[in-house]
Amino acid sequence: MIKIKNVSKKFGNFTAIEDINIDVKKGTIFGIIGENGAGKTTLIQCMTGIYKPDQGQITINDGHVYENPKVKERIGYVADQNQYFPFFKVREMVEFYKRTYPTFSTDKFNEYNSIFKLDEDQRVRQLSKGMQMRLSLMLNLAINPDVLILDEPTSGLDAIAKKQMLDILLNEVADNQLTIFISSHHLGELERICDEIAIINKGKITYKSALDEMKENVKKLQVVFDGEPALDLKSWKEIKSIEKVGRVHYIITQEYSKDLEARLYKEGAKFIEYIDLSLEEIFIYTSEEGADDN
Amino acid sequence: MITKHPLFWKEWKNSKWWSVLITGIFLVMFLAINSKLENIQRLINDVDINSNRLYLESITFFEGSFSNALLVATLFIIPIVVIISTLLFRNDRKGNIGEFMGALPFTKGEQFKIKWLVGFLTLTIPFLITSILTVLIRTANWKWISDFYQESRVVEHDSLLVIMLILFQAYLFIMAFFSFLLMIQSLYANNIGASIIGVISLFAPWFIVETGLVTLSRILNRDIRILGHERFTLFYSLMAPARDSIVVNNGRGYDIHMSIFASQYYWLKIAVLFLIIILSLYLGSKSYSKNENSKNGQLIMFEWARILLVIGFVICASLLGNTGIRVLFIRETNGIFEIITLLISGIAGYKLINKILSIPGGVKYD
Repeated sequence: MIKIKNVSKKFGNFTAIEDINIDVKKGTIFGIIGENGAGKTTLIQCMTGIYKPDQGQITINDGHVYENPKVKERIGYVADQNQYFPFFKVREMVEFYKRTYPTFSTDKFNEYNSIFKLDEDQRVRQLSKGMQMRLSLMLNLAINPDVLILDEPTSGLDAIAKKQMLDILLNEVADNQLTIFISSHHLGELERICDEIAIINKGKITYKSALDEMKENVKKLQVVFDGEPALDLKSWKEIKSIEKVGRVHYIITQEYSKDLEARLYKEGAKFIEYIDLSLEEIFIYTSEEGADDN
Repeated sequence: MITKHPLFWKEWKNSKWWSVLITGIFLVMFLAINSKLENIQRLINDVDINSNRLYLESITFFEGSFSNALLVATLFIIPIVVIISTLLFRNDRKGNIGEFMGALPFTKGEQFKIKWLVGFLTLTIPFLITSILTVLIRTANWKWISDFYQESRVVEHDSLLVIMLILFQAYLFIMAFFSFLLMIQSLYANNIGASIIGVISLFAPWFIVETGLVTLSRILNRDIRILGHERFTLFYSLMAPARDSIVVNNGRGYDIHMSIFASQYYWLKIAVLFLIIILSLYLGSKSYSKNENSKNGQLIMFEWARILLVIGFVICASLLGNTGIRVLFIRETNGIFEIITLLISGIAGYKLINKILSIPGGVKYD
């Protein structure tokens, strides 16, 4: 469905994203996590055809996105900030979408608006950030896209609206096989809805996996050694970081396996216990700075 | 149907008000013409006026009144055209809205053509209304005008056809100006910067040739003329939709004033204006297709356009500085003084343009 191959984008001398490779299957939800400035928005803007990648290619439904209206017609894009014409009324934005996207359904828009309740006579500039986000979501769902790309969609939404939005997204995937690519700072939300997750750091994908697989692989181990381990554990490729508190070594691994446990026992471990991590903890530990700090 | 196109629909929502404003300017122009015609009619009816003198002064008075009023109207319309061309690119280059526009399922070439069409309609409607009004006013007044002229030769010179041709030329002149500005917009990524460059670059060739020849003559201490110089100046005068007076060298060592009438070289002017419109549309559409949203807000979209801008700016700054110093401070100069002031002004111009080009702009990336 979405294929991103070796994509890089520079702004002057600054490399925003580098050698990104992602495949997203139809009817799945793919989440991308990263700190501010990590390159999430640039990647999304390349995916929506706003920016032309300097290298690599992005295809959706086997068609290149950039300067390709046929493919773009099938993509919905909810940006992190209002993008609509400030002096347009809500009903004028609906009219604009209706004229732009042949598959736009006014009924579907009205159906969602019965949930979000926006006044169609209000001008875009009069709407709060959260209301603008709802408008964007409703308009982009009403075009019946094959792919919906969302950049921080829950920012500015209250808890109830957030839940409503996430429920709508899950229903769209279940009912219409919608493919979703979403970036968010709210990792709890991604944990709830995503099938696959990628972590982006300084423009590069540092970790990518199915969410269950990720949780299976990334673990925090508490290890007690009999004395000091003979080998430098930090040089092991499976080990991301080590912190020692008293006799206990806290080890973060991205490739947990029984084999790793066996090797640790061989190095003199007397006791090993693993702790499951939340997505937020995984993100912190797998990002470079996070790992250094811990 | 093009009017159903979402981009056309969106742009027209704003542009139609400019169309109304231009129509308003033309209406004021007609009020002035009507008032003048009433005055002439009153003079004709006044037995005390020497009819012979009146006859001489008022030959082709409809065409004369019309041309003068049209020239004044054009001076008001030109800044409006600059504003329209700037506003048509405002959204596309404005942060989040620009990104939204970039994500829409339209090619860049399509977007450019729609902008041109919106401008075309914005400018064409007032001219169409003006044409109809011209015919109406002319018809309403023609009886007493033709009675007064009596001579068919004079009537022929003041015919409706002549007036319509003048109006058509004025229309093409405005359309060519608009199309040229739109093409410049496609070459630079900042809409206000592009408009300034567009307006300046229309006058820059004339300025460089005229001032350059004067400066060169002063450096070499002899009168320098180049083949076709007068023709070049003539070309600029010819494009104006009203009569004009230019200074030309008659080849005998002294200058003469020459009047250029709106109707002179008419079809050549029309052909040139058409060519400017078609070339601007074609080149603008091609270069806008190569515009990248990631450069929006910066001035420079293409590296070659930067080089062209720097060279043009330095040459103009050099000549302008040299002329300014000469006119303001020292009237009698010599070759060395000319060269030094040219160099100093050129260096200052180079530094200034680099400063302008280094002003940060463009997208914020995350």
